[in-house]
Amino acid sequence: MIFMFENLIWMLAIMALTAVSGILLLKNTPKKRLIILLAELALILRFVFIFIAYSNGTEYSGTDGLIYHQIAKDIAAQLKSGVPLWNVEYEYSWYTVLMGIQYAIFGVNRYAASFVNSFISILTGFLLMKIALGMNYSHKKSSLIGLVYLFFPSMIVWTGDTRKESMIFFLIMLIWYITLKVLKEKSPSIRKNVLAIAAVCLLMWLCTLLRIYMIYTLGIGLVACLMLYYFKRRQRLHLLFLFAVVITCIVVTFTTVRLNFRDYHALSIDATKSGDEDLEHEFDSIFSTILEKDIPDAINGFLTKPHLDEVPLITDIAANPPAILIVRLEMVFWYVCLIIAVFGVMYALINMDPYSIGLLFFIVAYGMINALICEEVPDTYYRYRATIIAPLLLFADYKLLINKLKALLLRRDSLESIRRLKK
Amino acid sequence: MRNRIIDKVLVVCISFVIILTTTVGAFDKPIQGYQISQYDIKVNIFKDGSLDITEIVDFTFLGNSNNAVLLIDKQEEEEIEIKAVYTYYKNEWIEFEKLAEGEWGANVFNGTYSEIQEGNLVRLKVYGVFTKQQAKILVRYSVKNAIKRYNDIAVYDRNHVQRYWEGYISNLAIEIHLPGAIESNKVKSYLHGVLIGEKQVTDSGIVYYTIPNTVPGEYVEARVVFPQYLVGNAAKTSSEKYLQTILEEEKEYLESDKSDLLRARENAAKEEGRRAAQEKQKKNLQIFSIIVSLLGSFLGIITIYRTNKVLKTGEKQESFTVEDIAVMNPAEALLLTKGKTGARGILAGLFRLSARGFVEISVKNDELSFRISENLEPGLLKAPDAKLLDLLGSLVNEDGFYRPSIKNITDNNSDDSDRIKKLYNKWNRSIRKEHSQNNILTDEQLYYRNLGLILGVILFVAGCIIPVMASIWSGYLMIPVGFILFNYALGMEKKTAYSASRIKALGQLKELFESHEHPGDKLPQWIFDINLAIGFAIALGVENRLSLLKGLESDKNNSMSINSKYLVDESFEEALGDLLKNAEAVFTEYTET
Repeated sequence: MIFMFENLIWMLAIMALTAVSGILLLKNTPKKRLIILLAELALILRFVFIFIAYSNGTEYSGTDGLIYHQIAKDIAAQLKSGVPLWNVEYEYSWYTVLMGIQYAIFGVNRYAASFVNSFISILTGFLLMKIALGMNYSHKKSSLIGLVYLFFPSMIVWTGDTRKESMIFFLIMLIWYITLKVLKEKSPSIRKNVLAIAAVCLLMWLCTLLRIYMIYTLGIGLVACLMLYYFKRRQRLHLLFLFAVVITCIVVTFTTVRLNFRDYHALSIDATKSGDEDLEHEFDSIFSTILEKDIPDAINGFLTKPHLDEVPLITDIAANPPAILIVRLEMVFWYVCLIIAVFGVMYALINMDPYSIGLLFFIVAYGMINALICEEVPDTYYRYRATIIAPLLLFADYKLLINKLKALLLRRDSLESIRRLKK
Repeated sequence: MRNRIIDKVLVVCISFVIILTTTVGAFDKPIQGYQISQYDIKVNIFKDGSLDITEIVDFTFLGNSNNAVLLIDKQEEEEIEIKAVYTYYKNEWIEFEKLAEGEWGANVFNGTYSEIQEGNLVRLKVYGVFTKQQAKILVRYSVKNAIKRYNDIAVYDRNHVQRYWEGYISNLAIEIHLPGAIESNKVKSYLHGVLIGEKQVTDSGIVYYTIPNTVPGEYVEARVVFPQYLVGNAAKTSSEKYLQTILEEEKEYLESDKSDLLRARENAAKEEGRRAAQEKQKKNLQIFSIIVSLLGSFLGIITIYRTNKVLKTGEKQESFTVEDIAVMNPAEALLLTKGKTGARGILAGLFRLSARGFVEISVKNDELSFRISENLEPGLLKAPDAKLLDLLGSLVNEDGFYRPSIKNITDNNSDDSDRIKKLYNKWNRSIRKEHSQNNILTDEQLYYRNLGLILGVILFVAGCIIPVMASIWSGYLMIPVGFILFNYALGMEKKTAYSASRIKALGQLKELFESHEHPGDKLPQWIFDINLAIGFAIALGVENRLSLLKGLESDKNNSMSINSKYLVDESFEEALGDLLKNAEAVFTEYTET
């Protein structure tokens, strides 16, 4: 009973925080109240999912989420026993330390950790709306993009559990949001810009600690974006930003990536080697994995799996008709998004918009790395693909290209020419 | 009306593509369970009735799963202990670690296994570095109390393949070693669950089972009856004699209805047929997609070639020199050279208007400002110039001057901002309209331009969708072809005689600006109108070379000196640079998308 009351307090607090964040982040947005109300609904859906997921107990449900919960409990115990934060021993990712701090302050409660994750995911949705606005989308379209993200079924699942996905998605969107602010800021203040660039570099590093190859996907996207900006505007700020990103990539590669390479379980590691037995073997192993793959087939897998007839075979939802139906509907919706996004991508390329092209490079780099390295299992593709849903939604607008095409084709001289041809 | 037809056509096209995509499964590998190409089982029976079993399983397909699963038969009173699990990787056997129940860590896929007790079986899950959905696993386990010992006989009876295991096995070989050598006629072996398979007993006390293949719905139960004294150390299950019961059971099995096994075979054959058909369909679709992709790309290339030819043949030579540039709008010059107007276009246009007396420019404290002249006669202006004056009217401060700085724009309220944006876009459109009215394509050129635009979009979209759906390389070729074709068609207006002659003249003018030496005879007369010169310098992006014009003063001894209005030096260039930077920061935001 007390536990339920505690959860209720948590939920109300998170809902209040969501409302406050919405009010602060969505200034000057038309229909702000409706958007915040819908965001609250998305949050409630996540709460419902969390209660269903943990119906068999928080100590038995899940895979990665369960491990992080167990480690966070250990970290909380260390903190409570007087170990300073900087001396805490933890495994896998710093996300567990965040959870551990929460457990140490508020007590061990996996529900509460999941609620916090849900809140972070709602914040990601708000950031997505802001980015869309910054990309010159109308208020209506920007809100729609953010809300579609918030109600994406798999997003509810991946960001509801105590997994690190919610944090990864948030950091990615934050990096792109800060980049947009630096590039499009009307009143450039050197101090502000330098701080923003430093923040982007720091966030890139934090992202890499959560998922080891993020430094490359983000690096490729940001470098492409900044190079194009520099060629277009010839501003020193963009060059400085570009150098900062490149240097971060190099430093993080030789420090964080090198150190954490072996422990990263999503990459296929040669089990015949052990310890630090030459990083080259690790790379050999990855390259051999890539070479063994049918690359077009792997790209197909990453972008389209699980196919509709494979959905019932996903272990987590097998024999659960409502879940199977939801995932199938989501897959159809995802295919529609992919097709619409193709038009948005072409529009971005025609316009040579550096920011959109940077985002596109990020999506392609992330997609290629996952298609080439990840195990060819529909469930895995489904989970890892979730990272590109938010950035891809920023391209899901076919009207821009179609309107441009229509305007070009229906120009007066075109029509007159057609008329003349008919005669 | 025309708009509606295009909308309907688009809706139909998009719906078709969506339907095609949602049937993406048709292109995929047919779904099936585990496939095993070789399954060797070696059983050693000990005198105490326990077993030591080694199974080597060669999975050729893991059923789209990230682990290999083996189901081990576990009967009442039996105790099963997994001794070791290995995988064959790079010519050596690597031992896997055991995961405790519920344990799940980062090293899971480095080579681990877990065992889950499920009623009458043990589910063994093996995780490792499995590529291409293939794995070779070796499992060693012991079974205690496995042999049932009676007064007359002892019985080995195990399910080596479970009935509900949804997989396909080829080349199943079971080798059962009795505790000692014994004449073959004293040992009886039985095989249940499959219609095909052979068994053989040797005098050395080894029983062999060879089953060519099994399908889902079948199972493999090996039963060996041998003298009970061979397992003398085993506890007796019963003190009764059991041989007769066994014989009756076997007779019963022999006479039983085996239609379920026949059905399993039939279903497997049907499934195999369906899979073969699906595989064939996939292959056909891939071939079709490859042909479509290559043809599409070829068509795109041909269209580019034809368009280029049409552009060249339809060209009428037009004489346009540097001297004629003065009649151009600098914003149009910018549109021709850079494909856009923007802040540069506005400022260049303002200097041109100043040259014509419609705008006054003042320089104070290294800051440039613009004001609409009082003796204005707007009726004399063409649409783009009139629209630019309207825009300037919306930008001026209370004192009547426009100083392009960020502050006065950001201080504007949103109504002002919207008004400025609208006026800016009106001006922008009028420049483009005037340009397209002057720069008319021939009918044939227009036909190829429109074809290129449509085909370019279709090829790009198809290039993104087809190779992903059909898993083919060649499809990706349509992306660059489509993109290049679209861009080529889009830029056709730049390649007409009208554009080409102007672009060439503007290029020559740029060279003149950039040159340190200004031979007087090569300079156009209009360049001595400093405002016009500045306007075109901004349009061509060479405003930082204006100070080079200072030397002209000594070259020309006429009444119009280049420095007559402003001191065109480095500080003027800097002021111009700041002006541009500020204006660009504002008007980039206003650009229509």
